[in-house]
Amino acid sequence: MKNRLRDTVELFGVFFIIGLLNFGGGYSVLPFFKQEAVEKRKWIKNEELLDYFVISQCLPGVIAVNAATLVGYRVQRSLGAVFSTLGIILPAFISILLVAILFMNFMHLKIVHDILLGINVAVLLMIFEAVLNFAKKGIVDKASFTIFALAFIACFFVSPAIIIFSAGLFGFAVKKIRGEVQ
Amino acid sequence: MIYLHLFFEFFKIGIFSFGGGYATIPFLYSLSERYGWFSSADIVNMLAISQSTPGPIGINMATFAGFKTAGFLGSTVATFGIILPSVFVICVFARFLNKFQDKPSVKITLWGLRPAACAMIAYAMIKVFEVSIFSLDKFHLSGRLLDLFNFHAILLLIILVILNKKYRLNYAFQLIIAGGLGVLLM
Repeated sequence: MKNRLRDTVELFGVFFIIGLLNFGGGYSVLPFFKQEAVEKRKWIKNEELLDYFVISQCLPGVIAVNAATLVGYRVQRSLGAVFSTLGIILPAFISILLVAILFMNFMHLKIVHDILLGINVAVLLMIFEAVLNFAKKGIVDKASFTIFALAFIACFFVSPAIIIFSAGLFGFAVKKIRGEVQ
Repeated sequence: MIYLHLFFEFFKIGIFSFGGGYATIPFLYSLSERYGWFSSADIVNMLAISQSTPGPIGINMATFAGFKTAGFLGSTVATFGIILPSVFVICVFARFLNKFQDKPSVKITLWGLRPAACAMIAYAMIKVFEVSIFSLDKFHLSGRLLDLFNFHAILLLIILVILNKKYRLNYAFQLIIAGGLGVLLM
């Protein structure tokens, strides 16, 4: 019981910080998940994190929030799921309220723009690391490289849902042809 | 009851928006047309603000739209509305996932999905690349090739790479340094 409470508080805290550091949403939040949930706390494995993001994309809702809910569920069931979700959305909620109430006029200042540009560059670097890292786990042979290449090109033209669906089918077909599926 | 109304509209968006924040935008346009809670100019502003404040865009949009329509309570109701469906779906789905994760068919499907996910992250990286390293607006205005690159941003990137190699910085710390360097260099 005590453990359950401690885990739940920790989940809330970790995702609150991730929510606070994340600008822009989607896959740009992935490096933070990797640092906190995989490397520091060992809640899940690296490839599981990647799976969670893919699954998040296929479920209704916002990717980053869905992934937080999944990790939370994994650690402490429904209670963990609810508190992880609250944790990751609270900073967004508060900051938007502040912007809406107070800071609307500051958004056009040059200094705000410069800070954000700097942050974008740092995020670029982090995502690059994440891509390298996950490529090692996900791209293991010619077939998976083909999926990667095709999916990357497809990103420019079709909706993510279609890409995920086709990649799943394609992977299944390859394994079937190779005779690895009964 | 404006609050109930807000809740249900954003609940619906929560159910039907697959694939993250940007997927909510068409829904917001339809809301603005049907109810006039906010204008289409407001939506563009919301997008700009969402991109420069912490948090996923979908949540930001709900909070902002709710606040614009019905104040603090409105923003709370709209935000809960948009996340509730996915929390519920995931709690049901996660039970299933944890049980079947090691089944061969699930493993094989995930095997195909992983490289696709890598591709999507790479695509997200290109998008961030576009807004940070390139200055497309300036290039379109002047047409000079030199204006295509934001050299300050490239310099910042190099500094960050070096710092990172040397000290192996924590991500939160990296962001703070990058923000500070942004002000110094630009």
